[in-house]
Formats: sequence, C-alpha cells, structure tokens
Amino acid sequence: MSDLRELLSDVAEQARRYDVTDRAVRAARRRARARRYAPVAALAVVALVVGGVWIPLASTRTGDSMVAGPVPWLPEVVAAPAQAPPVLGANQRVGLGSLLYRVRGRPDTILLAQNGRQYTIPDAGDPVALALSPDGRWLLLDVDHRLLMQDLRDGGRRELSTTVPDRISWRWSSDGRWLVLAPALAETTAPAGDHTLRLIDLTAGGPVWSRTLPPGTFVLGVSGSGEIFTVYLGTEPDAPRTGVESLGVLHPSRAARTLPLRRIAGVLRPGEQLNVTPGQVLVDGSHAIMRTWIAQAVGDVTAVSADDVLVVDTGSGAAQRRIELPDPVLRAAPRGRPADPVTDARDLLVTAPEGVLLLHHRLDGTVDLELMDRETGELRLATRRADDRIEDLRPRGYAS
Amino acid sequence: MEDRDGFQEFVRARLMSLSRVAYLLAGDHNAAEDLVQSTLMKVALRWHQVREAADPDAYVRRILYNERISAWRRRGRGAEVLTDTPPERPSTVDEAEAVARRLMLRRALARLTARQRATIVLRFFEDLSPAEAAEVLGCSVNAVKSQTHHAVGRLRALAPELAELLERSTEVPR
Repeated sequence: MSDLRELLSDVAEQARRYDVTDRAVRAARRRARARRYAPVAALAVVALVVGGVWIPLASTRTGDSMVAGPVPWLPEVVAAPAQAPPVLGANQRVGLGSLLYRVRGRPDTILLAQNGRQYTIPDAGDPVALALSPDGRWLLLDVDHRLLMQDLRDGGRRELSTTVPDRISWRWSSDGRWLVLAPALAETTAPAGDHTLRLIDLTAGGPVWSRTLPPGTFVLGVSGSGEIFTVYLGTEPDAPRTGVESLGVLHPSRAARTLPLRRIAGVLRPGEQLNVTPGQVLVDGSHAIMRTWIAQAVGDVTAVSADDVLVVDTGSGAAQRRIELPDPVLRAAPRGRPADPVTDARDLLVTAPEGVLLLHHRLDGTVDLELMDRETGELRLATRRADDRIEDLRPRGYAS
Repeated sequence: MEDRDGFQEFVRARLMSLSRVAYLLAGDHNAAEDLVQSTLMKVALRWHQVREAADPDAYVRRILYNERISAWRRRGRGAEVLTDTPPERPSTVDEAEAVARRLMLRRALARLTARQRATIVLRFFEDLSPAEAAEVLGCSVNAVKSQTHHAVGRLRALAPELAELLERSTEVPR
C-alpha cells in the first residue's frame, strides 16, 4: 500500500487547472474601487443627512428585489446588483435585514435589507457574515475569530464570545429571543474539540448560560421557552443508529430531561425512516419539525432522501400531524461526475411567522425558497433567484 | 493593477500546483475553483507585497490556507451529506482498489475540521516541517504537532481501512 503522501497526490491529481486569473483580477479591481470610494460615500451620506435631503442610491437596489411575494419581508426575486454594493460599515444603521446571499465567483457576502438596499460584507480579515436573526434585527458576524452581533437598526455591536471553535453551529428560537452557539458537527465528534454550548438571551443582551456537552452531542434547536434540544450522534461515523434515538432537552433553570421518539415510529409508513440529523430538524415554538426519509435506487447506488414532514410535540414526543410533500425525484449524476445524484427535493431551512421556508432544489439545477403552510402543507414560491450566479441564500433565522 | 504581466506570469507558473492544493483542501471542483479565485484576488490586491516578499510562494500559501479556513467557517452544511455517492467506475482490480482508497480518504478528509485538514495537507502533501506549517497557519509549532496528532487519529478512526498506511506515514516525525 502506498503512503499517505502518495494517496494525497492521487487525490490531488483529480484537480483541474482552475484558470480563474482574469476573474480574480476583475474582482480585485472591484474590491479596490469599493475600498477607495467607501470613505467618500460615507461623507456623501453624512452631507445629505445633515442637509435634510435623502436621495435613494439607485445603483444599490435591484428593481425586482423590491417586490414581495407571500413572505412580506422577502423579495420575490433576488438579483445580483450590477455594481458591487457599498461596504456595510462597522456601526452602520440599515434597518431590518431580509436575506444574506453570495454571488458565484465573488468572495463577499451581500446583505439585502428589507427596504431593498444591498450592502457588501467583505470577506476574511474583515467581518464574515454568518446569519440574520429571525426578526431581521441582528447580523451575526465573525470578526477575526470573535463572534459579534451588529444591531442593524442602530448600528451597535455586541461581542458574544472571545473564542469559538473552527466550525461553530448556531440556532435561533423562532421568536428571535434565544440564540444557541454550539460546536458544529466536525468539532462535536472530535474528542479534543471545544464542546461548549452557550445560550444567549437577545433581549437581555448577553450569555445567560453555558455548559460543556459530551463529545458527539449536537444541538438541534431551541424553543421559545429556552429549551435546548440535542441529539447524541456518537463520536464514530459508523456508530449504529436506529433513527428514533431520544433527544436530550436542556434548560438553564430546569432539570435536564429526555424526549423519547419511540412513539413516532408508529406513524412511519413501510420503508420510511426517521433520521434526526443536523439540519433536518427545526424547532418551531413548542413543536419540532422533522422529516421522514425514504430509500430510492439510483443507478448503482441507493440514496436516502428526506420526504414528508412530521410535526412533533416537544412535550410528549408524539407526532401531531404529517404534512405530505411531493416525493423527491432522483436521477443518476451525469457520467464522469463523481457527485451525488441529481435531485428534485426540498430541505428544511427556517421557520418564519408566515410558515416554514424550504429550499427547493430542482432537477435543472435551479434553487428556490418555498413557503410551506404549517397547517395545510400548501407550498408557494417565496423567492426565486434571477440567475444561477445567486447562491447560498440565507433568510432571517438561518441556522448552521 | 500595477505590473499585471508580472502577476499573470507568476500565477501561470503556479496555477496547477495551487489548483491541486485547493482541491485537496476544498474536496470538490466548484469549491476548489472558488478557493483559487479568492486567493488570487487577494494576491492581486497585495501584489506589490507578494512580489517584494522574501518568499512569495510562502506568502501565497498563507493566503490560500487562511482563505480555506475562513470559507469553511462561513459555510456550515458542507459535510452533512446524507445520500450515498455513486462510485467512480474502475476498469481493473488495481484501479478499483486505488479508487476505493481515494474515496475513503476524500470522505475522511471531509469530516476533519478546516485546521486539521490544512495540517494534513501541509505536513503530508506539501511535506513541510512543523515549524514551516506553523508559519503558514499562524500558530505555534506545538499547535501544529497536536493538530497533526489529532488529525491522524481522526483519519484512523474515520477510515480504519487506511490505518496501516497512516501508521507508516507517521512513523518518523520530522
């Protein structure tokens, strides 16, 4: 058997020559221009405000983004601005945020505010934008490996922690009161990783509780009453799992409890599984939204995909209702592409006052935001991308 | 940009090796291409410093690795793929074994943290000493040694089939 270097070389040989030099030079020019003109733009805004005049900066808006769909705070269409939007200042007031997204080939994140204005949040070395709170007020930022929240209404910043692991996960309660910071999956399963969980009360303005989680324990979500739901995934990737493991429930002032999911097994249909895994469970008020999973043969492999939605009572662990979603459609990846099957499927994304937002991946590669009615399961298109350069859509309440 | 020809020439000579490291760090072509682009953008913005640096290659390497660690922190969902991956299609038994080993290693690498993965690539692909790797990652030599130890242990746990190879590769620390 060859040594590790040889094997790494074998893997590296699969690389292509990524000739993006011209694109990089163009991006560098845009960045240099933005840096050069940012102080001038800031002075211009000050001058206009002092003079009592407000002139909309048309170039930072996209016409389509002003039209709302079934979710009033989300645009019907997200379109990349023709020019790089102005850089978001450290203490800038922009009103409520709607969505973060990225444009393929550009390293920065763009913040789309509810008033339609867009702002560039620069990349590494500067703040890295992670997410918006469910009410659109707070922008979660990573500034030189420190987590900060910027109040988009008044521009103030709060520091949340001085050290964070390499990969961190965060969960908001759907009412926007609580934020939980915890290690991400890779960090969770590393025995020597940072396993600290921090609960932050956004109304009180700081951490209210922290504790160390056992290795292999992952945080799924937090309810409006501050209950934190966890699942034990184990520290080994092939640890046997039944899919209906009990959840752990932690609370700052109550004894820890377990929430058995055995009762859910009774509502599963033949061939269905429950798979309580990161990113596949949302805590929505006093309910958890979970997915049923089905196995489908695609070419030479069997792919397991999320299908229907189960609404589970977080007090009793009983499934209250099933919301039937269209079955996922899978096709084998084109020849020569060692990738997952091409899928028409929906991922849970966030809960919102209007319903549950899903990310709908279509076979043609397009991705839309859909709104699912909590009661009826009716699906409506909430936001579509103007073109496939728009990626990494992160609406309010996005967790990772 | 000042001295665009010099920049183009510098990049042309190193693009393939940058692409290989980017692919090892990122794990797929799209992410690797993004990584190369964001790295080159930063190199272009700082071209004057890169050109004047005592070791321009080390400077670019630092940008590349730090870009990857930052990008990893930004994107949370990458490693949690639940569908099976269609196998590559080998034509001979030897080739089949090589393909299987590559897949095992790629999957195991995908489960490491950004720093662990960067440490593995620096130490075992780029063949840097702990001191050199520490300079790239901006941390202490002891931190590199400890990251290497944890990363190899984690690879061993994630891909037991590669244990023998990992044993041999880490027998003689530099």
